Amino acid sequence: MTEVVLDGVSKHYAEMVAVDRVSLRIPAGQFVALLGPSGCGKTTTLRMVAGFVDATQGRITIGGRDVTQLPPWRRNTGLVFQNYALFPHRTVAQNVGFGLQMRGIPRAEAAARVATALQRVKLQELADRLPKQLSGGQQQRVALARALVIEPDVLLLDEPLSNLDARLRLEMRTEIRALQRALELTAIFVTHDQEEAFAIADIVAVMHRGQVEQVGTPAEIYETPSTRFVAEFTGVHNLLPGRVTAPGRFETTDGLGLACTASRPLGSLLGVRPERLALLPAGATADNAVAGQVVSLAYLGAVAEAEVQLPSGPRLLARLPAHQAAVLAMGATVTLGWPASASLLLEDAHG
Amino acid sequence: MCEGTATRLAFAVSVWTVIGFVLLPLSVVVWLSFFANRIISFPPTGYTLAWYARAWGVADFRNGLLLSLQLGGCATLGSLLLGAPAALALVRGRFPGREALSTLLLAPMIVPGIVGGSALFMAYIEFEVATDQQLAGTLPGLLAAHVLIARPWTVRLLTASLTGLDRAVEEAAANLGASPRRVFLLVTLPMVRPGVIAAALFSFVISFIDLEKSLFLVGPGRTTLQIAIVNYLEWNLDPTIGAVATVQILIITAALVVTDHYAKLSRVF
Repeated sequence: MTEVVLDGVSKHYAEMVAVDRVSLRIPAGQFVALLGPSGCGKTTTLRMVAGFVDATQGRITIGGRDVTQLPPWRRNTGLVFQNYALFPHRTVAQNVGFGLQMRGIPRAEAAARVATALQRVKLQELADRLPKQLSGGQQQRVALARALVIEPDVLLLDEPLSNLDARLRLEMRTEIRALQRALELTAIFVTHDQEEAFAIADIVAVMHRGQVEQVGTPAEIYETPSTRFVAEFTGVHNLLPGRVTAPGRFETTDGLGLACTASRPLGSLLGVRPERLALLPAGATADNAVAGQVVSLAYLGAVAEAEVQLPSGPRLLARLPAHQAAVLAMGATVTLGWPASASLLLEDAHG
Repeated sequence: MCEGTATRLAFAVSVWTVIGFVLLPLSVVVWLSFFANRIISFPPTGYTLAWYARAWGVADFRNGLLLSLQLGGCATLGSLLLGAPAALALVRGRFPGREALSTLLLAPMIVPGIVGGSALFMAYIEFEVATDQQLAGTLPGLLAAHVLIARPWTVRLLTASLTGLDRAVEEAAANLGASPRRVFLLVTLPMVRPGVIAAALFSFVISFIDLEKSLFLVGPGRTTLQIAIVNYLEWNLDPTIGAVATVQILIITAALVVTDHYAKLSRVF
């Protein structure tokens, strides 16, 4: 178990700053997801930990050892690539054994460790196949076994599930998580998929324009996004500009008075997740209740999405259980309600 | 449906016409190498293997073949030793003048052989005037010319296979603890092996079939097989030429088959 620390790490290219003073402490045995859209610097950050990108500034330590100046082959990290990157001319067993061969592990011991690693990813029968004879999911398992067998100080995963189909993606992410727990590995996982990050990680670091915008447990990120970007990226569709007029009171620029929790004193935006909006039957009350006209309806199976136009101007998107939405019609007037605790106060600092 | 059949028929006809056009002269040469009549005429009066024995009996052919094989082998080696690092630098390196260097390295491919040959000859003479070292008509001079015409093929083919190489695979090796030297030997080289083999084959063939450049640079008593053939044709036209040509075709076919066994040629192009 090894702690990984990034201390003010930056990467500048001639024209742009790819990673901007990222500081992140990853406790030993924890699974961290770097989450963000493409171009946010998450992969560059991971590659700096692996040693394939030189940090322009800052320090990276793995288990207390400063690796900032070390070449990739002296860092003892296990990297799993998006496109698997298996050695095409080597068999599955030879692929997995490569790292042991590089470490000069005696043949017999290496063979035993390769066998154990292949067993862990359930590929022991395919040891003598070549990578091209395997499916995508099997290839990614080989890549995983190859990275695990060297007992890396930190497991690095660069969008390892992106090339797999939906079902396999679910299966692999559960498997990766189970292996990481069983081997008590410190792991960094790069992804642009919020659900994937939340499902697999202990800690999520949301990145945007080269910076870490928020670090927290999946629940913290989801319940209390700290910036507009984090809120939007994690699915807060409804954002109403305005200001806090009193603790627990928010007034939108178009004159709507809304209730929010008093714990946050400031905010120039009030956000509500579509799934926190509910249809209010006539006579029912809620902390917040707004009436409007249904302008669009989309049936998605378990849920339906309705867009409601408020007379004051903004539109709200509500995600409702499908059976509730079934009674809705285009043009109908409905009342949407949500509790004060679902009102997220945000600063509009966008970039 | 009917239109589809017609299109397919037209396609098949044109494909077979082209294949026939390529193969016909070769098969005629092989065929007439077995003619019994001394003056080539159709139909043959009978068949014999005598021309093969006679071809081997002509010292110019025998020595020409040996010299051409030696030259081809050495040119292949030289072409790989010079071309592989060049291809690596062109694909991996980012330096000013990269494009210019690439064009320069490929230039011998597009300069007509006869022009390149005469230019080399004049350069060798100038070199001799300046340094008193003879190059024209010597074996090193001839070999240098063959390396020169073979190398663009090595550069071209290796550049292609290095460009198609997934760098992530090399990174995976480095990540697993392989130093750059081991990455190159254990991962890069095996992955571009088909390209290396194809480059070697083409270097050999290009050197083996060269006529124009060698024409300027061979010395007294040192002729390549191609030049021996031209010399012979000046005064004779009998099936001996067919026999020599057939042997050449066999050598090159063998080279292709052997190469294809180790590296599927269809995958290199």
